[in-house]
Amino acid sequence: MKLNEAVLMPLCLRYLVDELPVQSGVARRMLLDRDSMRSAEEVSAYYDRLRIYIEAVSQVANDVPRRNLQFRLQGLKDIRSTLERLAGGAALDDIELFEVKHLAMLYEEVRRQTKVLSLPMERLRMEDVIRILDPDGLRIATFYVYDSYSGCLRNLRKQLETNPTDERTFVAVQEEEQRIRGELSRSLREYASDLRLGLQLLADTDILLAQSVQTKDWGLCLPHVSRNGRLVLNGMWNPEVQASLRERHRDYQCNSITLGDEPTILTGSNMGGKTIVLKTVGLCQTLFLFGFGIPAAEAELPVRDILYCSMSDSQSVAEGLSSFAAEIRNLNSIVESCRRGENLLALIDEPARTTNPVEGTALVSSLIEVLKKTDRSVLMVTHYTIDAHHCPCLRVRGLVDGRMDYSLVVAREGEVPQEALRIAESLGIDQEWLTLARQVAEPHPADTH
Amino acid sequence: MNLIDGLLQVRSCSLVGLEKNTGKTVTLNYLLRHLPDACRVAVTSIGLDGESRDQVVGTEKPEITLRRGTLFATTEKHYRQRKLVSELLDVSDIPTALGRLVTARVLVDGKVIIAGPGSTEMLRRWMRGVENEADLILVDGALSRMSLASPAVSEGMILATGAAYSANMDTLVRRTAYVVHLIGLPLWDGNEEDCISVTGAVTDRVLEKILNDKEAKGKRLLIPDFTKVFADAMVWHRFEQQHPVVVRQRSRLLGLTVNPTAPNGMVLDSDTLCRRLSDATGLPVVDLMKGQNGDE
Repeated sequence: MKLNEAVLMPLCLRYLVDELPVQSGVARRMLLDRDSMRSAEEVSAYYDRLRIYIEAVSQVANDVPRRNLQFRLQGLKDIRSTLERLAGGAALDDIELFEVKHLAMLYEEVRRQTKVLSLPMERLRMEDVIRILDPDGLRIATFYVYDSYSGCLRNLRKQLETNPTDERTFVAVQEEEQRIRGELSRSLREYASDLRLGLQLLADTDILLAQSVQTKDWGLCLPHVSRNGRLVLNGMWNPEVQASLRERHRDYQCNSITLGDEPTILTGSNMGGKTIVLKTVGLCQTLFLFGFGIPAAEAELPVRDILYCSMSDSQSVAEGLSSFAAEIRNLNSIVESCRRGENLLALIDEPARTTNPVEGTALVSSLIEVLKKTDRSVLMVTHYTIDAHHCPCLRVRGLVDGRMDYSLVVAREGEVPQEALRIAESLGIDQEWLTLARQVAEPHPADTH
Repeated sequence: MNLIDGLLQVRSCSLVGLEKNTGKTVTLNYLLRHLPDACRVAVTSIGLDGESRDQVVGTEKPEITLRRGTLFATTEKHYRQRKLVSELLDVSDIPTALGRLVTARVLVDGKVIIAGPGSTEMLRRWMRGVENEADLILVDGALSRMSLASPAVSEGMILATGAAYSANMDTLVRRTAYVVHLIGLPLWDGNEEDCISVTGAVTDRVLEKILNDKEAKGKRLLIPDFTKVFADAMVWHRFEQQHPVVVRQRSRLLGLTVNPTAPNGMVLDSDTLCRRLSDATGLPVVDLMKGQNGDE
């Protein structure tokens, strides 16, 4: 899975990626083009690198060098096609040679800046490239075919200066320039791989620096890599939801969750934030696979090859049979994937919610039973009263003294909160409607407790 | 004061042609030739305005002659076709129809096609980028009203007019004086209270609507700059008697250049034309065909 595919999932991931302070367009493109990491070793190594960056940017005294580094990285240009041409043996023109010189000088400058911050940056043969394109040793990132490349060129240009309109001299100058550009390109060819690597490393630096700044500024945490399939998120929050709540001067209540290699059932009253929990778990899992800071106080996550999301993008229920068909097909592919024993995390929001409660309950109960047998990590939200087949059950605590408590607590199996009417009442619905609903739900008030 | 002296008093100046073939390119070459050597010049234009049309009818966009030390902006394509020796200073992210925008410095005199950013904001950015390297930035304003970028970003302005705009001398003088009047509209004082603000094109219909609006009575009209005015001169003058007009941005008009020859070959009497334009506007007027200042 590439990051530009992952941001399309309904997980509020795009928000974090958009807000990431990457300095250059090319680094952002490379980031979006990255594949998710596939092994615990790879993820550990990546977070080790990120940790070094965070330590560097966290020191107050390093604010100025960090800003300098970010400013330099703004100058990174995507010259991959130029480098392809160079490697392929083409004679580069002035603009392309300028780009190559600019990249080599930028690399050396960034390397100097990273040293100030005690960040590692590989030594490449950039000085050799600069020497070729800066024959006068001026250390300025401008370029033309310098006089000092050839005595012939110098003489021709002198002639041209005395008579600028002389076409023949001008053509001779151009031919000599072209010959020199061919020579320069030939000598630069052996450095094409260094230049390509240099561009890659500069983009990586830009991305790591951005991720470290985001982790620090947003109070994100670096996760532990779980090797036993356990997922633990303590004090997790969803940054996008938090930002929108903050706009309305409201606080976000963090919550905690633990998942293992088995289905976990999440129930809770309406408006209890179940879907947000589901999305945030998916968000944290995805951020982990791409090496971002995790929005939680503490996080332990396993590597997953596939992430399944079965949730409607909008919570409005303007859906009919066709969406039911799409949902069931999607759920079936999750079942098949679980059966194949694939390393996955499946997030399922209210399965079979658009059909009648009798058959819906039957479908969900049986789905849990099927999934339970496969020992795969699944988090499922449901409103139905179902047989959980001894799977762990969690519940949003719900209304406490008229206020919503969003924290998650362990629920008794088959326990489904009956708070819809109280919540409807708190929303101020029609009084007659509410009274009649109460009568239907509780025909014999004396029998309930 | 002649045109060049006036030009030396501003940091940036745009050239605006009232019509195609009024000699904007000749004006630019004239200025570049007459500016003192000590003045470090940077040249750009507003976009590649007119480029596609030029390509359709097959006429080449004219090259500008630049001398050693001058900074210029152009497209990647035109940079490769340049007929001068130059040092590449910057390849920017600003896109143009013919590749990215590049900035370079002339090392040996020669010719090149000038191009520039297509939006006012990008033009400002480019100007900020070179202002430390140049004493004077010349902006080839293209056909101002057809461009997305406003020539009013520059401190000064030079207007190119001529027989191509109208072959009737009375009409030419009257219409040129109208544009000169618009360029000279007073700058807004920042007081919003008695202002009606129009951000788009100011057409006859817009003016008539305000004239007929009782609530607008006595209020001033605030517009971004003179390039937004598309109204007929008669309607405009009637409007101004009821409502003073102010602009958010304005340039100082330094003078006029005149091409007395129309594309169809008709030639107006240059001396009379220059005198009448000078009388009507109170500004220096240069006859480009003679290559000298008409007010001297």
